[in-house]
Amino acid sequence: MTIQQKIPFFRVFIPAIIALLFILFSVIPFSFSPTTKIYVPLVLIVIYYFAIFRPSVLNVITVFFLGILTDLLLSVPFGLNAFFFVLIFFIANLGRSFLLDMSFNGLWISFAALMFAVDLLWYLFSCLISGEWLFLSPFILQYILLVLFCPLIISFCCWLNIKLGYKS
Amino acid sequence: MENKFFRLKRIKAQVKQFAPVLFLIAALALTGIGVSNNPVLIRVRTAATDAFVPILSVLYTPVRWVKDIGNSVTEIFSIRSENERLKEENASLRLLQNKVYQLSSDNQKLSQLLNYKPDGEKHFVTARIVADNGGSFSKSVLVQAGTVDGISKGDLALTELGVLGRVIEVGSLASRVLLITDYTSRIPVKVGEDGVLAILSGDNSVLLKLIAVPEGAQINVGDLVMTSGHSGVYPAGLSLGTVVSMEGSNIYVQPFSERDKAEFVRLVDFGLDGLLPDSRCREE
Repeated sequence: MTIQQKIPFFRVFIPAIIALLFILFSVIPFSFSPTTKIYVPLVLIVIYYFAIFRPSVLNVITVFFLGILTDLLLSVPFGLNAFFFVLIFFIANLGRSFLLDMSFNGLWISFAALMFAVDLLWYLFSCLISGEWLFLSPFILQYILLVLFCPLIISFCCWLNIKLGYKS
Repeated sequence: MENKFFRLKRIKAQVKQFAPVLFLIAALALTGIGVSNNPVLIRVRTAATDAFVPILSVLYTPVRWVKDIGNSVTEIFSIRSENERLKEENASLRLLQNKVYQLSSDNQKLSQLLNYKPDGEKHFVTARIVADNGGSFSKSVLVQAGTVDGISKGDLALTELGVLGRVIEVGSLASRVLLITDYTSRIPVKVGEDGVLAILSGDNSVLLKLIAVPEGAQINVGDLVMTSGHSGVYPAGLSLGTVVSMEGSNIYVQPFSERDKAEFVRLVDFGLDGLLPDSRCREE
């Protein structure tokens, strides 16, 4: 029995709830790095996946508000995370027709390439807001961890997508 | 009728297509407002953190269990060497203890001679860190104590090793502590035995930087860095770290308190009035 049969109505909200849990897990004091806590927005992988495969269940409005919530919890300028969440959604959704036919590895490489550009932009944007050149290493570590965790989270999203049995 | 239906459908499709662009613009506009630290946004932020702190606390529980198990396993493997180290430390602490007794007795006698009145007891609250923004952009943590516990803006967050930061936002259940490593953190300090006055600045890395050091000042690696008390935000004499490296004009300080080793912080109200009220900050 799929989740669709068990909880027919709430399944629409499940991707958003999963994304919310990823946001909350990324702010709790748990570190992937032995020296310092690095904020790793794993939710970006969830957004990337659903923007390609199910943009109707995790739509741009939800993504925007998830970004706003992240900004509130992280105490960074309002709209900063929202901007990058929507940007990832927008780009992934724009290249949907191309990305839909890709293999698992292809999706992973595309995410790595997309995140490289987004992370660089994120760094420059943060420097612009703060008015000084910020330390680059947290951004590099953030990028590496995101790319490393990508296959695991994409596999989880694939499983969820099948279990939820959404219709295109 | 049919034309109208198709026109509406086309408009709807166009709006749907451009919605991400509209939200991107909205997010950019919000960032512009957010940078200005609008009081309404601060209130929204404290309300949101108050609402999410109980959830974060629950989510943190399994993580804490995993952490505890990991620590226990590590401790088992290092118990022998740790025991040796503690024995050595104990021996040197005994020597220090004798010195402290002697100094304490001298201090008491001198205080009586001068009729010195010591500062009263400080109000403090011990609170758990429930969220860490791990900021590539900023460095702050969320602690589970707020106005209901008597926390107010400007209270200092201390660990057993030294100063971790200060409270910058207070909700009813949670407060946000800006770490001394944050790029906006500036603390007036005294360095070394000569008490060279300087400013200790964060740059989001694990090390701190000394700025505004007077020309020709004698600073050496290993010098102790303490608060000077000049800002009226930090009291004088709190230990912050030691000078670890000097590269040209850049002097780096290793802070004593490390965020990753702290699970609890002590929020202390030193009763200082150096912080400007929010209303005046906005005016200026």
